[in-house]
Amino acid sequence: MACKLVLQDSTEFVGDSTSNKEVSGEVVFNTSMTGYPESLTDPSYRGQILVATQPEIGNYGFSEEWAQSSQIQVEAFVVRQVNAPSHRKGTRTLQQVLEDQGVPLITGVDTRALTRKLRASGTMNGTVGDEYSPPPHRDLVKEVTTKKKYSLGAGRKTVAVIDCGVKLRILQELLKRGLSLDVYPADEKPKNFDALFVSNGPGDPKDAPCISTVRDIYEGVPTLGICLGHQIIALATGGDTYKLKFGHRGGNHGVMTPNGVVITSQNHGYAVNSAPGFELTHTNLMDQSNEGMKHSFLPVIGVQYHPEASPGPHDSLTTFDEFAGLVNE
Amino acid sequence: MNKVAVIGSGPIVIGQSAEFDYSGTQCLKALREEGVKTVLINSNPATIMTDPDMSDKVYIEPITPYYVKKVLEKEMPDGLIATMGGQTGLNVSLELAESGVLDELGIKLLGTSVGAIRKAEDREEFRELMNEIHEPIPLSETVTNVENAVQFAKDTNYPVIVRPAYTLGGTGGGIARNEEELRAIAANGIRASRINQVLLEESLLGWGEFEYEVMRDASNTTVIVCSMENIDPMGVHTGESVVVAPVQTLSDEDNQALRNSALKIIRALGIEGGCNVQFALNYETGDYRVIEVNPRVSRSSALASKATGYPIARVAAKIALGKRLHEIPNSITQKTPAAFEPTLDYVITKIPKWPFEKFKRIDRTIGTQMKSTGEVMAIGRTFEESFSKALASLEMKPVEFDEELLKFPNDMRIHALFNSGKSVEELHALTGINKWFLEKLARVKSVPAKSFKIVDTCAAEFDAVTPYYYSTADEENESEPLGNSVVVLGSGANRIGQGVEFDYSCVHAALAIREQGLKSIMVNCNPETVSTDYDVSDKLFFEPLTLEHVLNICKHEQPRGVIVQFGGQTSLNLAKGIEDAGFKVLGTSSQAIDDADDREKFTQLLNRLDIPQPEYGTAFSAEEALRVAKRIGYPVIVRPSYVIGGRAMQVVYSDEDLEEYMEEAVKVSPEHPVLVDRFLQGAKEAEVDAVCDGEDVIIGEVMEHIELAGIHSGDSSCVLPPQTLSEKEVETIRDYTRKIALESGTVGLINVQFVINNKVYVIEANPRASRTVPFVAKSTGLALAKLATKVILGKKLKELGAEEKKAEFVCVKRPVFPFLKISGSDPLLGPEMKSTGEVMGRADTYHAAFYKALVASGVEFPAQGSAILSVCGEDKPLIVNFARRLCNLGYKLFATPGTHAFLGAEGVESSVVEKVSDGNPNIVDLIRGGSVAFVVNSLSSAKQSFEDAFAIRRAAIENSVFLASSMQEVVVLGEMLNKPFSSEVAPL
Repeated sequence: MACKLVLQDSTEFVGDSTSNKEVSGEVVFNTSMTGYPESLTDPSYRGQILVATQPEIGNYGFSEEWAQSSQIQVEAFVVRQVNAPSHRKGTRTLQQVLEDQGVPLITGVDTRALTRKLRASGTMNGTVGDEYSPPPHRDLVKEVTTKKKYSLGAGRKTVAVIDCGVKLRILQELLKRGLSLDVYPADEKPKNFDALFVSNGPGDPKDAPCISTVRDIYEGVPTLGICLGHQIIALATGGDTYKLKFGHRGGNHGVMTPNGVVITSQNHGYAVNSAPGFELTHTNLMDQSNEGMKHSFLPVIGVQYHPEASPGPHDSLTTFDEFAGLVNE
Repeated sequence: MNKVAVIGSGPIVIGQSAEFDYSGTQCLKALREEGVKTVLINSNPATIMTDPDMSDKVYIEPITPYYVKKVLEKEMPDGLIATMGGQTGLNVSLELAESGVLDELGIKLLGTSVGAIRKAEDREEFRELMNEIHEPIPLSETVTNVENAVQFAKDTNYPVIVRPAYTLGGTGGGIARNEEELRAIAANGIRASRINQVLLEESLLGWGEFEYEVMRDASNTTVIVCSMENIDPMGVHTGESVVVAPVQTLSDEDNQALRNSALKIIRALGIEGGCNVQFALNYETGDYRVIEVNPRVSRSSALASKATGYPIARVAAKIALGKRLHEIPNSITQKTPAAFEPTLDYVITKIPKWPFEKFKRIDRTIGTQMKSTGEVMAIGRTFEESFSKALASLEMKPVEFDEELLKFPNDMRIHALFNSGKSVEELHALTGINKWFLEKLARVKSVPAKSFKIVDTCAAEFDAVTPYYYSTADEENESEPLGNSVVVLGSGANRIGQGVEFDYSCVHAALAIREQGLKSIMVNCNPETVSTDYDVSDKLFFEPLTLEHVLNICKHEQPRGVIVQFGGQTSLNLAKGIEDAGFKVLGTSSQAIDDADDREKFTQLLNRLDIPQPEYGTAFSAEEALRVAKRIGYPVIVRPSYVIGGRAMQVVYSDEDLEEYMEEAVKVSPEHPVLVDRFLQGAKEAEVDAVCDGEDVIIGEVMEHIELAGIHSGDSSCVLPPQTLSEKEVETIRDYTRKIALESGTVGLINVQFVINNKVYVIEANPRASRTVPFVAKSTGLALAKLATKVILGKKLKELGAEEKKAEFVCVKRPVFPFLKISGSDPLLGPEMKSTGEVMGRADTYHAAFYKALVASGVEFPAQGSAILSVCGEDKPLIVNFARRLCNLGYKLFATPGTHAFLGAEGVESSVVEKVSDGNPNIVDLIRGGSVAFVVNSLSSAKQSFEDAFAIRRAAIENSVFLASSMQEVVVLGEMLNKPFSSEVAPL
């Protein structure tokens, strides 16, 4: 049925919605050409209305195998066009999955015009509905973190994972490297661990419930933070973060690392602008923003982008090797 | 690096087209941007890269180790870039590197190393490397003889794919379904390979085919520029496939698996520059195989550059100079570096263009060997939009549905699919095409465009500064009208009769418009060309050349006018519609263009000027044609009206043949009459390109055809200045040209064609850019197309100070033909154009220039061997000199009985060889035997022993034996062999 996406500055985009549900959220665009199932299930997108710049969506359907969490996380998905799938694994259609979970799929939108708008004006809130209504304040990390601590793996060393909305692929990569994982709710203080992992997740890092937890424990153990986790480490150690104009969401930015340039998977609206005691190790080649850091003497590292990919390039899976190396030292 | 040499790709042939003009031109620009002096070597005059402005030194010389070495010795550059000139440039560079010439001269091979090229190109080394890095490749074996091939197939089962090593466009390859086919294909492939080696592979028929374009710099930064998916599953050469970008049916998991593999391979090879990796992926299992790697820029990289806006050749050139990807700016955003991966927010469709309508009795099947001459590309926000625009770009009439077309890959299959009315399941069962595409094809329809959007490499994430646009039905328009603009219409897909020569003129038009202080707007849909490089014009619209799309652009831009005379028939066809819509066609009016094509009106014009033409008549029926022929006398040349590239033209010698022709020709064009002209046998032909401003005329040098009248001007070799015409004849030709240009209302370019038979006759005049404009420009230094553009924009020749120029050197143009690639085609030349491109030989004497043109067109003269002579009665005297010379040089002569007797009487010894119909061993067996250096074969005017002659010609082509294209060529060859000449090289 016909619907509108109304931005907070009253700009309207018309399209068709699969549901009559009204939703509001921060409107963000992702420029990846493949990987909508991974993005839609990425808890970092919680509360957001996701726009795909890739105009042909749905081509390979949906498979649980690709999902990064147990549900669709976005408030709504805005696309140019959705298709019937033709893929050996994607046995369910995207349309069906979204409908089952009550998430509106908006099609027929000039997504390039919408993206240009967001690029020029900066990320804005928007409403799928007749008129703009601001999204309610939500504790996004609380919505996506695990309700109860759980354990995975049977390795010699245990990593405490502070789950702010961790992507499944991150857990898989850590397990693959022989580590045991104790996954904690974001507001719970971990106990009995050899290393700390602070996960990705949604929202403003300054709202994260685990900053003080990290401040209390990071000095003692090897620590890795990814995305929100990277920002939390910066905040916990006296640094600062800021909101990017329209964020980095896609799979094509070059990042300069100590080992040369890598192409990265990105999904963040905030970035680190100071982190005392840390060396800047990774720089975004597009805007020179902080993409990674390393403590000058402690075994603590953070990366802003997503070395676990899913979706996106696998150039940086070595980050997990580096972390495993620190843990096993 | 102070000075760098770049090698081009030579003439346009199937498998190596205008894409290398695009990459070479970008490379030269990039090198000069870095302050490096450039030396260019290319034998193809119809290219932008050979323009004197493009390079510090331009050598139009054959691309052979001998001539390239001469240029290198003369110029002593510090480095050489081998990867811009297709397989031709690569092979020559490899030979020079391996024979030690480059080391000897202290020249460094820049970019990708010889070792890396070898690993990628040599089947065996590549296979070893893939095994080493655990990348899956098809089961395969390299063989050098047919028996081993048969053994491999016994072990792995049919079908088996045969791929020869070191050839372009898959020459000599194929799919063998049984032992008989395998024996034939393998034998052919072994011959076609430079190292007599073919690879046999397990068949991956039905698997999806994918291509990844990769860039790597010396610091190991590696990026994927573009991913592409072939709609046609494996079994069809990627150059023959309908291709979309980005990949559409792969999940991120699949896509990353192929990306990882591509990165791993390019790193293992150590490529420094651009590279293309092809994959097969089994849609049912997700398994993939690495098919091949091109360690250089390619047709695919040109497509990828146009598809993404990422200029691969330009970046590769900078990498060759040692730059790192993160140090090279992305020229589209100018703020971000080239160390990123372009992301598309639109869909690209590429469809090849095949030349099959030019050939009778040929096989329209497409497979692992390239047969297409060009391609179109279209951009749309959705697959449906993109595909619909690509179809429009092909300039084809709607195809009637025929179920047979769905049963095997052929040039019409995509059209048949598109309106078959069958279910997706049925179509999938018939074609193996992924259902995603079949579902989408069923929904393709043309929707009017509402807006223009930018190709920006980044899906709008960053602001773009480049003016590269496409139209779409989406809402938001991103284009601002330029103002003070002039639109140049391009020529669409490369095809026989309309090739890179027209693109050359279009590029010159765009440059001249800028020189005049106006803004240039280019419209074209050919991804291979320089004209669709976004830095050639002030604005590029990558759009189909249809009236609808062109008028959309005109309505939006409100240009001062449109230039239609440079894009061949494609753009001329739009002239009237543009005028009818109220826009101005600049230069020669559409009325004047039409009048020149209208035989009646043209005759009236010639009569007014008292200029003679051969007798002719117009016929609407077979009876009428017979009456005309009776009146003017046989032989006659017959053709439907309104043609380009000589389609359906023929010389006819008898009533019987004429009746047969009329049946076919009338089918070709029922609404237009057929012209019947007196054919002046034994007459010479000449042509002229000129620029007229309505008051004055500037004439390019007169070109004399080497062949006699009767061969299409595009297929004739020609020489400039004229060699056998009298001064008076040349003066008459110039005089007629001037008069016709002025009388016809030409403002801009005109091409006039003549036959000379004691008297000078005019055969036709076309007030537009011709195929020979670049040849004349390169020969004389007179930039006709730019001059014409300025005149079209209103300048007078006097005002421009334009002067006619004489060529300092003798220049010979020689066409090249696709007979080897188009199996079953007849290499006999006639009024129907068949050549795909041309080379230029340039030297201080006619014979030296002629020799260079032969060598540049790929003719090899074995120092020993035999020659076969089989010519008809009237041609026999013409070969005596040639035969005697060959004899003296130690060649063994074979001749058919009649020719043998004639030569004997002239005191030239030869052995008799039987005609094909007279049993074995015969001429064809001899040619297949492999020791033959020359074949001279002519048809008598009455088509006797046609099948015999056809078999001889095919055998010569298939065995890469020099087949003289005409008796005149044989005469010049005889003279050439008689006189010593120098083989010096000189820059333009």
